[in-house]
Amino acid sequence: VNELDLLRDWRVPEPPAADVRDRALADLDALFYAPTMPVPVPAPLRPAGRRLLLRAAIALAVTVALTAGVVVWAQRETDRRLDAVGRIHLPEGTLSGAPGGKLPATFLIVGSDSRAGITDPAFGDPAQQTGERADTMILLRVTKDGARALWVPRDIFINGATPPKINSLLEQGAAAQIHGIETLLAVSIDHYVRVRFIGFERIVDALGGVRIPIPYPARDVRSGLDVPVPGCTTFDGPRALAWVRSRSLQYYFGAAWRSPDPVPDIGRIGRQAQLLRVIATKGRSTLRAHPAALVRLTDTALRYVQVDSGLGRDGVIAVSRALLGLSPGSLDTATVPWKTVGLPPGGEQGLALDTGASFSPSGYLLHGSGASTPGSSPTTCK
Amino acid sequence: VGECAGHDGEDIRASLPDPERFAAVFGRHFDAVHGFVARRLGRAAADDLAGAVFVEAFAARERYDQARADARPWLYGIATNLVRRHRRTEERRLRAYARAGADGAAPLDDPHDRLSAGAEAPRLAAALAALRASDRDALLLFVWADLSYDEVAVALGVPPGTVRSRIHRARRVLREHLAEDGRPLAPIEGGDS
Repeated sequence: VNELDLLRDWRVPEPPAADVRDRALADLDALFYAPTMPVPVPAPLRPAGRRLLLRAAIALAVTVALTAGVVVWAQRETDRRLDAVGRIHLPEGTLSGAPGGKLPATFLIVGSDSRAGITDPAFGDPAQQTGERADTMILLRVTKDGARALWVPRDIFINGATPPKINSLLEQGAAAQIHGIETLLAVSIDHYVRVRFIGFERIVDALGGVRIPIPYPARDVRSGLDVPVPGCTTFDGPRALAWVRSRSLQYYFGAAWRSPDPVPDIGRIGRQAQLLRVIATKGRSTLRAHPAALVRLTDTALRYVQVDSGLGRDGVIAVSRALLGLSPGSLDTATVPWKTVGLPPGGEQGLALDTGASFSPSGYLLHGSGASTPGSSPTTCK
Repeated sequence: VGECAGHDGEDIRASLPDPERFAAVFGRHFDAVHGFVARRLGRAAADDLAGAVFVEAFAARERYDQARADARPWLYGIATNLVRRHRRTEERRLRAYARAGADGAAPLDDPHDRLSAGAEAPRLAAALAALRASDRDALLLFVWADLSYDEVAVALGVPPGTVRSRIHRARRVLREHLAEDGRPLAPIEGGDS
């Protein structure tokens, strides 16, 4: 035993109390969102009795000041961002919702195919993408207790088994699309929200990545997805986007690359719903640890949405947060019942609404009845 | 997220545009930094100062060498700077500890200090109190923060050779104090008032 060993064993510290850790992290967290960086001044040590009292007083004062400051600042930031949110002007009478955005309300969320902002060549040359097609359509019912998301497959025909597909209606304008979905599913749509996919990429990055369970080695040569090793995989924003955009996903099993999706679009919907749930879970745990992150995440989300001109500020915030699982209550997911259509040779492939299904889109949206999760692996990652 | 060791340099680089990413660095090292400060100044002081280490680190993160995967030398360097501002407190504690141990009384106000008895503890405390402050910093970074000589050099911003000689000198003082076995401890000045 030498002097170093003696020293090493002397006064071995215990881990800090949980509240000490929390307080230190909260101090740091306040800086993350502070508009300007304060100069840290460590408090001098004082005799115990006075120190305690003083510390309590300082803590109180600082908490009050910080809270007030953060709230005021956050409100101002959010207001500014809300003013900048893009507006879509629709013909009067297109939407059922009263101006404003009182809850509960049904939103049509259109994930647009717009390539703007995506520089990855895997998604094609932005200059060659003309027009705008709806890549993803979700009916989102937002109530005070939670949200329900109903995916509308893009390849579903609006008139039984004959074209056009619902997807192509956007080319005739948002109003045509809203009307088509309302007619097909017997639902009324209160508000219209367009989301750029790149927004999800940014949200995933803002959350520090998400963990997705991948059952087999996976690839999509068209979207650039490549996961050589199966298991829980951390996806950053671009990889998460490649995952949910993938329409030609292949898994390596049975000694060959095979498509796991009987219908590519339906498989993709499952992955999108899965990502949304994973984002919601991650978002909630992030908020528990850093309540102030709400402002930042909302701010990020607001950059990538456009809303109908009748939707009020509260409605914009409600739908953005519901979509990210940041509002209280659960986020449920389901898919419109579908069946493959027997096609004449050479005809256009597509899906038809399964009118024989017991699942009713309006019953699900309005009352949550018949909730089902679109097909995807039920396993989750820690 | 927390399952891998993590790369501090990458998180710090990512935290430049995205400050939240710094929380990963906090998560990896807070407990250890707190423990280090608690060992030197006591738990109550560590509860205040450990957080300040990360606040300073966050403010200075632009200057961090992002190639370094392990931020411990940097963080312990900041911690050492903060501890140094409380040098008198530290030395007073050490002397009181040495004195109390010699009297057989319960040392100090910090209940956690009592947990570590050991016959040599008073002599260790006396030895540490007797060290030159810069020697003590180097020694404790080496032994308590578990840094290598090179890492201590990074933490203190001095050449490795200087670290080597400081630690060497500190060890000699420690050995001298511990060798006073059976003999009365050298008289210690009361520094409190």
